[in-house]
Amino acid sequence: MPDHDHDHDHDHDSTVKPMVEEITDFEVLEIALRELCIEKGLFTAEQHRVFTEFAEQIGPTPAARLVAKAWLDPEFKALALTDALAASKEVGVDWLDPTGFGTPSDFYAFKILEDTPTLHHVIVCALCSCYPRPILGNSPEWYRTPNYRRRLVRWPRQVLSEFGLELPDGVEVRVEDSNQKHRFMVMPLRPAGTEGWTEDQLTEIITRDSLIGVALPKPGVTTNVFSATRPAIRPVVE
Amino acid sequence: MGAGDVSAGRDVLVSTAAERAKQLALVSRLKTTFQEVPEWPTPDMETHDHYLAYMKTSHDVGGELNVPEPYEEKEEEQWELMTYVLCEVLGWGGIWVSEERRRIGNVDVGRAIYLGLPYYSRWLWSVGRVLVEKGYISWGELTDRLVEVQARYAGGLNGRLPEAQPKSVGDGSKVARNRAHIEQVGLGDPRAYAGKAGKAKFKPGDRVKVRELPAMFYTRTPEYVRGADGVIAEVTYESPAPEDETWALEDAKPEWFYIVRFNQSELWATYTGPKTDTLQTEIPERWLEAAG
Repeated sequence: MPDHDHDHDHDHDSTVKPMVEEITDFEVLEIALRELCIEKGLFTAEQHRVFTEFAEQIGPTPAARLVAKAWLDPEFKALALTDALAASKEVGVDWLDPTGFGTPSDFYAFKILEDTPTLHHVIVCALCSCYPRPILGNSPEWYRTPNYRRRLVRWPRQVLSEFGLELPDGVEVRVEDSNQKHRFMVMPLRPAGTEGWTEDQLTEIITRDSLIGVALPKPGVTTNVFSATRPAIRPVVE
Repeated sequence: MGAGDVSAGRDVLVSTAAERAKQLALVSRLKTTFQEVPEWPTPDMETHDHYLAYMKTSHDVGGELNVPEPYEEKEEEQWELMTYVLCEVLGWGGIWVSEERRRIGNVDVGRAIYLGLPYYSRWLWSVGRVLVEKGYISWGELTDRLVEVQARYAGGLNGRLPEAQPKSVGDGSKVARNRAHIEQVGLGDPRAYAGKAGKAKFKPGDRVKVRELPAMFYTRTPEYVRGADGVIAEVTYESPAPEDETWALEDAKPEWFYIVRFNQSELWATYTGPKTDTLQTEIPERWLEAAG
């Protein structure tokens, strides 16, 4: 077909027809691979269902509760800092779930990093985006970007200041690059103005960002630093 | 419906001369070499520095230059969730360990794809790659199925959601599987390797230097700490090194891992923060030697 005819048809189509909702390349690839895996017996549909249910319920809530409990109970705090896997169980997260040996990508080695008045931790994985998924859910998009991973290890104070977190020189900034099997989470300091608060109240201000170390808990602040969210083409089916 | 029909719905297949030219122009904008070196250099043009840069694993981005960019959240696509699940159930079934995925999807793809495709699409890419390389599926089976799935939705989704429709359920009893998915049950990884590495060479407080090994093809020891001195902060666990796990070497000997603490002002020549700032990263024993 000559080019001018082609162009004409194309323009005509796009003005009269409603937009066609196309399947994406990644959807095609995922479906093709999953079908072949099941037909070859590599895993069962039941395993796929069980893991999907597991993946749908992970999120940062148990991590926030863990820190709130630790703020209120010195004994639990000692457990959290010496055996974070056992402490996770107390808030309903068994790192051996759902396979009996954990999630294959996040292992069974979890450590909680305690901030003090003179020490602030922040986590990154400069190699991929290792993240404590079982207790914190899936990582935010920015955590996976080269922007964060390239710069945090080298210019941590500049990156933290972009999140609105300026730390004085008297506070040591310690970057934890989680590049092997350990997964890390920060235990921030309990802020002033929360005296007498209940575990539930404290849990509300322990945001995901404060557990990564790019923000500090603050009374009245219950959301992450940046709220701009890029919408999905076809989001997760509820 | 054949593959050719698919291109009517979307530009999957390059069909006209103009489209071929357009696609080639796109490919030509991929950056594959240093600006001062032409593509396809002769041996005398290649310097040692350039060779090291090409040898560097593309996932190892720590310390690379990047202008500050905005931070953004992203709503998760259904296929991204399904991709995570797919990769993890393949691990559950002993088809691979996650370190194989990390190499295939983050390093073997090269820099253009590493930086050019979305995060979870590279997880997906690695599934196809490992299944073909290990002989679980053939290139033809994958390609035919891609064409078939594409054709199912050729007229658009029309309100449907993409859906997997396996034609049969395979007998899993004869499938080759690794030992890890059995041996780690009830213990977890790396706890399943406890007691298997012998005596740890270093203890907390020891000063160590990260060796500058000519690491080809894969490593998880970041370039930015190689040659640097640090202090052992913690002796962590025993495990096979990722450089072995990534090729599914089941009999690799476990070794000790250490969290090593570095002083930022020693790590970076232009560090502007206080002298007390530090960075920690985890390193297997083979990469460490006692610092003088």
